[in-house]
Amino acid sequence: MTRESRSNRGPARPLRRPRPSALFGRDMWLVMWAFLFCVVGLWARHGGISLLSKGWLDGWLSISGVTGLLASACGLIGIVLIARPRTLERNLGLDKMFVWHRYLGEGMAVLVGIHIVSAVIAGTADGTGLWAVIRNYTGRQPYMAIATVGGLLVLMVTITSLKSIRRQMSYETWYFVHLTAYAGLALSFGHEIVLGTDLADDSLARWFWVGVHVLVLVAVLSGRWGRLLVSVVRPLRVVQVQPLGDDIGAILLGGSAINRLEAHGGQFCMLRVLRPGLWWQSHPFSLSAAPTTSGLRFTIKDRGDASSLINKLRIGTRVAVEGPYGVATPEVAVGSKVLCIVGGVGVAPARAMLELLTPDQQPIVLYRARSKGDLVHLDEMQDIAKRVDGEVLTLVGPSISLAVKDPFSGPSLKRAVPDIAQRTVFVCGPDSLVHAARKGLKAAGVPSENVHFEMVWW
Amino acid sequence: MSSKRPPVSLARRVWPAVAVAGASAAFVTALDRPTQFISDTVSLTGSQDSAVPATLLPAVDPTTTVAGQPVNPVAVTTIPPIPVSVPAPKTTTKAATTPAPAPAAGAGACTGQAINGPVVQTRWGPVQVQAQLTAAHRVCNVIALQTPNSHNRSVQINNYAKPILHKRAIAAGSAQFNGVSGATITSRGYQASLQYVIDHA
Repeated sequence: MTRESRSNRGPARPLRRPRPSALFGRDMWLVMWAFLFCVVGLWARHGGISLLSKGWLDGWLSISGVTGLLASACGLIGIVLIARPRTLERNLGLDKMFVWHRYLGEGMAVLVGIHIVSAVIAGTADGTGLWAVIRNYTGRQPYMAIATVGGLLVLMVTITSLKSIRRQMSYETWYFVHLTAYAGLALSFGHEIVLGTDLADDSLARWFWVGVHVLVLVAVLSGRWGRLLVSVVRPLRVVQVQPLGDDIGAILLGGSAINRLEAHGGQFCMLRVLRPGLWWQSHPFSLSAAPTTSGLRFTIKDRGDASSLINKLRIGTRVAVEGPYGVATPEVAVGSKVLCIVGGVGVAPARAMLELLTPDQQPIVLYRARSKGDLVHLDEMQDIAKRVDGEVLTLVGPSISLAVKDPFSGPSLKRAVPDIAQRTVFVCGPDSLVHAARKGLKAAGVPSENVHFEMVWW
Repeated sequence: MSSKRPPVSLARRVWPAVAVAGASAAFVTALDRPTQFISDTVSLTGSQDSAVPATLLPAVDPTTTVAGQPVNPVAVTTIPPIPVSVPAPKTTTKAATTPAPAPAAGAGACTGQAINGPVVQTRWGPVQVQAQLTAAHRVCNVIALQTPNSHNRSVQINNYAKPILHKRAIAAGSAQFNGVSGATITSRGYQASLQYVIDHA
């Protein structure tokens, strides 16, 4: 049944743990607020505030200036977040970075809208016709044609990211369109520098602005594209494929390149299968065993996309591994008892984590699955649970057939785990389970800082 | 669950993005037609060398003058009116609605002397204009003798702004017109220098 390569040699050692972040959460907020303060300060330094009350033209120009600057700032911070610099990721966790990326994107779209409208109002202030103003702003003024197109790209990216539209597109289609946002920001740069009242005439401001853009560019090139390149140049190879059920299986990735990785149980990686037809898409999968030099194990459910092919890969296939990402690891539960609430294939991180816990943490796993066939790794987990003085409780079947009406309500959780309020809780599973469990945990009196969860967006 | 779906091709997923990028490139080519910088072709004085003393050189406030910078008083009695292709329909309607006395024949002709305004120090550098007034005391011609030029960007901006300020000043016939967006500071200096000429002519 299980296919395996014979390339494993030597005893398996645990992989190095990811180094802790050099930044504290507070530091990052400080940096972000300092940056925004500088941006608004730039505008205030050139009289932006007093201009607000100096009549129609100056007032609208001033509004246009500050919203333009802030829109750029939002875009830049959003790009840094999505470039996932290691230090930031180790502190925030990738899922929260993506959430903030979204907030910043929404903010940027609104600010760009105000920027454009106020600039047009200012343009018509001296009696110039609307059409003439539009023509000025879309090509007659230097660098405005590309800025217009940059604005249209931002609009396009915003529209495709609206939840109702996004749902109708495949992830990759949306992703490729989303990439044009880079171009949108780059195209807007010219008009900021040449026509922006706050940047054009002030060399200090200009150096600040150019410097910030260079830093962001470096972050994107090294953090995002550089590490993507490394993952492709030094890929892992499939060393073992293990079917676990009809539509679920586990693959083990290994090879010499594994020594460059730092990983911990509970983390996830982006996998890119380097094979024709699959190389251009990457998907996130959780580690389902403690990472060692003999390999990273991922448990993968067929979701109907590339994941259906991953479990059929041939031994030796190269797979580019980005990451690992995620901060929901045993590190956050040191010295505390542990509860894992998992659903379906969300069992993977709990399985990996269980192996790395100690008996004094008395881990309990609440394992929800639709059918017995979906209960993967159950035997493994029960073995480990015995060793670490823990237990695995399963809840199988469609919701309607369960004896307990709402298994994740506060009282139900408390009945199953009486000391729940003293535990550090990890939640992983489908969105509905995560939402239900978070609500129930709150009702059961678990402080929210003790609840850790990773959202799966794909 | 594991039904046999053909794997999706990259081409199918990437074409919308490629289409967006292509449309963007097309838009740029179609839209990008920046105004030609015409500032160099606009000139009041064809003969800079005729150093006739100005009939009116405003008593310039020391704070508004560049210390030690020789302000070249270029006031010429025989100035050919510059050919400016301004008179758009809007300009004429604006001029007609101004409360100023309707320019009689001759009074509207741009035959006044070219008068230098004071050098106005702005945040980014000195601004000075030279203007010609009609007998009815309306601005009929104006050029910028100097604008901030210590940075390349300033030069670029002012090259863009100068022709627009020129048009707006003549259209308004006074110093009461709106500045150019992106060149607010220069616009202010321009108006201040021009206002001085009008007040003291």
